[in-house]
Amino acid sequence: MMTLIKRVLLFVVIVLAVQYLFIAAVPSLIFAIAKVRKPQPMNTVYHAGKTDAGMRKVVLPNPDFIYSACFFDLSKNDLLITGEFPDTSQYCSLAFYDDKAQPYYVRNNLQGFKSKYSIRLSSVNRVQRTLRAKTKQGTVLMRILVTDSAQMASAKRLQQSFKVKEVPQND
Amino acid sequence: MITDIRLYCLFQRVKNWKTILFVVLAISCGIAVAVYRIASIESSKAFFTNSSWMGSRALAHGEDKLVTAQVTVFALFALPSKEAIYLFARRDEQKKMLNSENDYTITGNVNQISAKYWSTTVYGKDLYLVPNADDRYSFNNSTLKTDSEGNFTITLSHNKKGVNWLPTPDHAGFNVVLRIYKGERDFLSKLETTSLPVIKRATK
Repeated sequence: MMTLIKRVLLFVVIVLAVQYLFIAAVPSLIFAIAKVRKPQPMNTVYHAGKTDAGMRKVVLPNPDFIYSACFFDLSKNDLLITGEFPDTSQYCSLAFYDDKAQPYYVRNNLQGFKSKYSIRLSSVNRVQRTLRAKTKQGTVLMRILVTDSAQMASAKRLQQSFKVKEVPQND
Repeated sequence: MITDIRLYCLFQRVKNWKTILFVVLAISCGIAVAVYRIASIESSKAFFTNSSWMGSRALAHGEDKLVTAQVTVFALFALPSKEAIYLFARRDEQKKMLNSENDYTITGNVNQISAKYWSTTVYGKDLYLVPNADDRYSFNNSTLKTDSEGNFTITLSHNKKGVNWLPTPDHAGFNVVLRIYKGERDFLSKLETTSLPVIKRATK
């Protein structure tokens, strides 16, 4: 009888431990899958076209946005991210995600920053003008709102302005 | 030497197929429970509901492991809630699952939602946009056609219908997502109770 109780208890403990570990591992697992499915190498920008039913890399794409993405790896170099936000009220943002696909910093054009941006992303501590990445690997995602076709040309220009460049960590 | 003996004993134990079966079964059950919990977003304490809509203020904040997993599965690379709120609808106001066997209407007023930008988008059960010949997937606060008082009706149907028509998939379940970007603080603080656009089943 005691052996049966012990086995049942052990079974319950394993089930609880596995479900906890699985739930905790899901974000990392999904980020790893997204990384494998990415169309460009690490530390380069991918500019997606118009968002439509053909976009099947990431769930729930917003058809009112055009996206650019960069999967980064800061283990060897920092990343210098430059580009331009619209100076109109057309929403545009840069969102930084960690290796569990969780956002830790968002900058948008409505926060009063200058339209031209230059952000140094680093995994090591720096004094100023550097955004400290939460994890060495992650993603930067640029979203530009396009609510009518007349905005598409300027959105495409802004999209192309989003660039990344590797810079040495000790530079 | 002692370590070798221990390893040998462990090996002998593992060789016991009953033990292996026991462990495999326990691990499988653990994964099944985890998948069930992740899929059960409607019963999650972290999500609030308002009529057909459900959402979470903890969305993508990474504070709760289960919510984080749910957000990663159902809204990968979502923005944090201070930037955007995502409200999901899988059911109509009668709490029946949305299915393209039926037509639906979403009725409301553009002034109901105080935000910089908001939109209503139809997704298939797979959470991707529904392919259609018109390349039509959503309406937002700029593209929606309203009457002089700002009232609107969006028709969700597989066949072209009405002024604000959004195509649904062919004979399948679907989801509607209401995105609210840079919502006004007062509006967001009452999101659980405020009046939001209503999804009703329509007669075909």
